[in-house]
Amino acid sequence: MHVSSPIWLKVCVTCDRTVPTGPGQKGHGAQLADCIETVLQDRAVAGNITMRRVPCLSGCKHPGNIAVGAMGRATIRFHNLRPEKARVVVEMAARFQARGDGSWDEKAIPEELNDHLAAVIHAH
Amino acid sequence: MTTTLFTNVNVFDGSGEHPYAADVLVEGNRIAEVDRNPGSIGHEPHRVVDGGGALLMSGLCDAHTHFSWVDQPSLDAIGMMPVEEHTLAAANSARMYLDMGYTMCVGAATAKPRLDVVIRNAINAGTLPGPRYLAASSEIATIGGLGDLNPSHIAAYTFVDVITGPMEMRRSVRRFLKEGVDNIKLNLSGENITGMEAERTPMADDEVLEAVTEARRKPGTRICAHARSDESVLQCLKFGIDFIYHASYASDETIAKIAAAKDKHFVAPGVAWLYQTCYNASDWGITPEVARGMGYFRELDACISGIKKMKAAGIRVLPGGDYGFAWTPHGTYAKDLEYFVDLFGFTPMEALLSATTQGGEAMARPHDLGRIAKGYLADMIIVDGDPLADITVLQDRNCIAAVMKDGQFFRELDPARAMKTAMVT
Repeated sequence: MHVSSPIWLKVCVTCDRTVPTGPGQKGHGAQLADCIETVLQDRAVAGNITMRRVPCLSGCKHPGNIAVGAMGRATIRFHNLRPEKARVVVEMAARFQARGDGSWDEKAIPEELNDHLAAVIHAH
Repeated sequence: MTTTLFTNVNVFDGSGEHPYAADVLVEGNRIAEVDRNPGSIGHEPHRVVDGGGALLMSGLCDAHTHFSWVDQPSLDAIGMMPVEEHTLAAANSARMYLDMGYTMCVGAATAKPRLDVVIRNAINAGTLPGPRYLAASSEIATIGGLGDLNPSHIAAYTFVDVITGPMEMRRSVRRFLKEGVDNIKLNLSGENITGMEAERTPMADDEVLEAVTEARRKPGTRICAHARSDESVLQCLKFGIDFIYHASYASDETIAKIAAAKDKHFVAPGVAWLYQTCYNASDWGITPEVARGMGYFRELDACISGIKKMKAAGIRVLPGGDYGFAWTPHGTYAKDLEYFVDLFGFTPMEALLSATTQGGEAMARPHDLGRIAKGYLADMIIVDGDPLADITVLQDRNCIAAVMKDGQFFRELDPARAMKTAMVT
């Protein structure tokens, strides 16, 4: 169990792949990533939370995907997220980080994200 | 001759040593010097690239590549795609690999007989961006085997070459050799999602023997096999097949046999397909419950258990595959390295070596590719981050700060970029 592993917060920057973006435009996912990055910069607790801008999280039909996880721990994916949800997403990551024993409890999901839960993958 | 001097970088050279500060000089398309006394090489007349303390390492290798799997939700879809659109889509896949820092790819099958060869040739000619590529044949399968999607009343449309018997196998292999493939691909076992179970082994020994015999007539041709079942892995061993793909159900006895011949074989589990099908394919109708019913959870568990044993036995286990399905989309290749660490227990160092140094071996160019050392080809990436501390950094395109292939930049390092995570060595 890698309880000291950094928490990663992956954000799909391809969402919404059905909506083309022109030069200089940012898609839904990229905007969400920018907002999350801004929130992380503000938070002192973000020290061990690393955001990763990834090409896909396999939630294409529900654009606005993020996943929180760490080596040896559960991975939790959320979908249908708008950039306005950035703050609660970081709150989610902080709660995940706080559970240093590697366990996971669905009650730890902020209520605002309950309708956005896409998948919980327990550690192998 | 163009010369480029990389300064202010920490070098992961692929020897197993922890990264160290060094200057790296590239002359033409090769590494001329790796100087562990930074500052010793004069800047004139070279183009100087200041790496800002970032990591410089070999480009990565995907050992089971499908340029022509184009993020489709089904195998039917890649068979039905018209060849003109398919060529453009495959070219985009090649570019995406390079864009994500992959400079080496081992082709594991093409969806139309000439697609891989055409893309490889265009890459080699410099007309398309892409990694160094070993072009594969179509998958060769038996009637009713993996990929034989043809209804009995309709002429062939499927993406594999369906054969029965050694003579048809000989014809198939000769046809692909004529087209100029580097790798011949055989479907030796089933695949749960197709309705033929993964543990079935439909191809007869005499068919496999014919394939191998014919392929070896052209020196340098490699053979790769879709081999999930134990029996199919034994066929790989019996007939000297170079790349054993998946090997999910290899028994302990079979693993011992692979270990006894470990210099002859590579194993690439292609675990992304199993993991993603189990957990992240709901958007395409494959919920975890459906995946469990298909047998994928059982197979994932078997894969994890087996690969741990193979690693312990010193077998070369390589990352890669099967990227290019809707739930294992192109661009996410480096998730394999995360799986290697998180599921198989590789250290980040071991995972990186499997994707670099052993990648060079997989490409059959161990003295040219996969390492940062004098004389090696200048296929390199600069990473803004420390993959030895957090292997997921390689999944983030923003962290792949520069990509060089054959001594030419595919993506230049932005001189104004301030590296976020300059490494401490």
